[in-house]
Amino acid sequence: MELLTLPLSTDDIWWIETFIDDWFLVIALALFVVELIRYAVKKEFTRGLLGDSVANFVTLAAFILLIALVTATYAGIFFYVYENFRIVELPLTPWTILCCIVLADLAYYWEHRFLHKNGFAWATHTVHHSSPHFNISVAYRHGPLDWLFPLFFHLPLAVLGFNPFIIFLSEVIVQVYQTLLHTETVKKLPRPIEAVFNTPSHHRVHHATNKQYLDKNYAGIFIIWDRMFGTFAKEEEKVRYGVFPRLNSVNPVKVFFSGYAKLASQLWQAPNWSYRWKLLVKPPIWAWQQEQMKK
Amino acid sequence: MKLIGSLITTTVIVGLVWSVAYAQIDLTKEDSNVVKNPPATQESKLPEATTLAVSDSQKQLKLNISGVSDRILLADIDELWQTFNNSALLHGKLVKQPNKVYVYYRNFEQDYLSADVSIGYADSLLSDSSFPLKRLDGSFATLLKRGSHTTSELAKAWQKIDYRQPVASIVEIHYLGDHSQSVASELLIQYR
Repeated sequence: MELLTLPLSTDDIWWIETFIDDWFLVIALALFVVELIRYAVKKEFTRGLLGDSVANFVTLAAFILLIALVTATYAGIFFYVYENFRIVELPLTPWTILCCIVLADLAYYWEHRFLHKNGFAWATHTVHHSSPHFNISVAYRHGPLDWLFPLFFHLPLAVLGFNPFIIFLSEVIVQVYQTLLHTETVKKLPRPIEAVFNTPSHHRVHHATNKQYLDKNYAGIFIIWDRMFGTFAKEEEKVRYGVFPRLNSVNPVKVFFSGYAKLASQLWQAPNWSYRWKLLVKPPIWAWQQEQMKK
Repeated sequence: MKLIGSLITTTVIVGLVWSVAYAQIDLTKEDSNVVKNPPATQESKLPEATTLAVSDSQKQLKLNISGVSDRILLADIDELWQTFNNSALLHGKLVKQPNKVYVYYRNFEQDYLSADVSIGYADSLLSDSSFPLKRLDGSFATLLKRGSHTTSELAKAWQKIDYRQPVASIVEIHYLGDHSQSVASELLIQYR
C-alpha cells in the first residue's frame, strides 16, 4: 500500500515515460529481427515484405517529426484544461497511474472505434491497416493525423484531475503494449490472458479483411472492453490483411498520404455537398457501398 | 450492446475507476500526522529533539530536517504541503509524535518568486533518513514571534523582510498539538 501511494514528482513520471519509449523501440527492433529470421526460414522473405517494412519505419520517422512540431500545443492544451477545469487534483502516485492506465485504455478503445467509424479519421488510420503483412514493423506504420485524435478522447482525463504527465505516460503505455501484438509468431496465449488482455490473436482479427472480422477488437490493453460492448470476435480462420482496395505500393510517401489522397479524390468527385459531408462523417464502408451501387 | 448502452456503461466505469483513484486521498489523510490549518490555543509540551536558544529577536537553530523538497514558485507552496501531507512513506518512518514541522526556504530567485523549499520533521523523529536531509544551522532573526497566528498574519510577516540585505534562508516553524493540529507558528530569517 505504501508503494502505491509513494509520492512521485513530474520529473519522475517524465523519466519513466522516456525510459519506456526509448527501450521499447530497442526491444521491438530486436523482436522484428527475430520475425525476419522466421520469414526467411519459412521462405516468405520477399522484396515486397522488405519494402513494406522500410516504408513502415519511414512513416514512423514522419510521425515523430510531426509530433515534434505539435507537442508544445498538444501538451499546452492538456495543461490549460488541467489548470483551469480540473474537478480535483489527484496525487502523483503509482495508484493514480494505474487508474489512469485503465481509463486511458478505455479512452483508446473509443478513439479507435471512432477511427474506424468516421471517414475523416479513417483516412489517417487506414495507413496503419493498409499493409498486406503483419509484423512488428506494422505497429510503427502511422498516418499523418494519428497524433490528433487522441487529444479529444484523453482530454477528459485532465478534467477528472489526472496530471497531464500521468496522462501522457498512460497513453505511451497503452501504445507500446500494442506494439507487441503485431506479430504472427505468437499463436494463442493461455485462456485467462486471452480472456482479459488484448493479444496477437485478437489483434490479427482487428487487422483482418475477412468479412466477419471487420470493425472488431478495438482494444488497446484490455480486450474486456470489446467483450463488454459487443465488438469482439475470436480468431477462428486464417486472416487476410490489408484494406480494400489494396494499396499496391511500398513508396513511403504514397503509403503515408494514401488515406487523405483517396479522401480528397472522393470529395472532389462527389456529386453534391451532402455526399461530401457524408464522406467525412460516415464510416468508410458507406463510401465503398456508394461506389458499388454506382457500378 | 447498443451504442447508448455502451456509452452509459463507459460512464459508470469511468466513475468507478475515478472513485478508486480519489479514494487514496482519503486513505493518506487518515495516515498523515499533519493538518496544515486551523490553529488552537494549547501549546505542545513534547520534548525538543534539537538545540534551540531563544530570545525575543534572535533564535539559534542547529538541526537536520527530513521531508519533501522541491524548487517551486512560492505561490505554489500548497502543492508541496499536499505532497508532504500525502507522503505515507515519510509519516510511516516517524518513531514518535512530531511536535514541530519546519518549512525551510533558501536559494531564492532574484525576484523572490521562487526558491528551494523543504517541508519536514527533525530527523531525530524518523527511523531512517531515506528522505533527503537539509541542515538548518545558524542564528535567525525573528520576523514573527511564536504564537497562535492566522495564515494571513503569517503572510504579512513576510513583508517585514529587509530586502536590502541578501536573504540566506527563511524558516517557518509550525508547532503541533497532541492531535497534530497546528497550535502555533513562528517565522525566522537568516541574512547573509
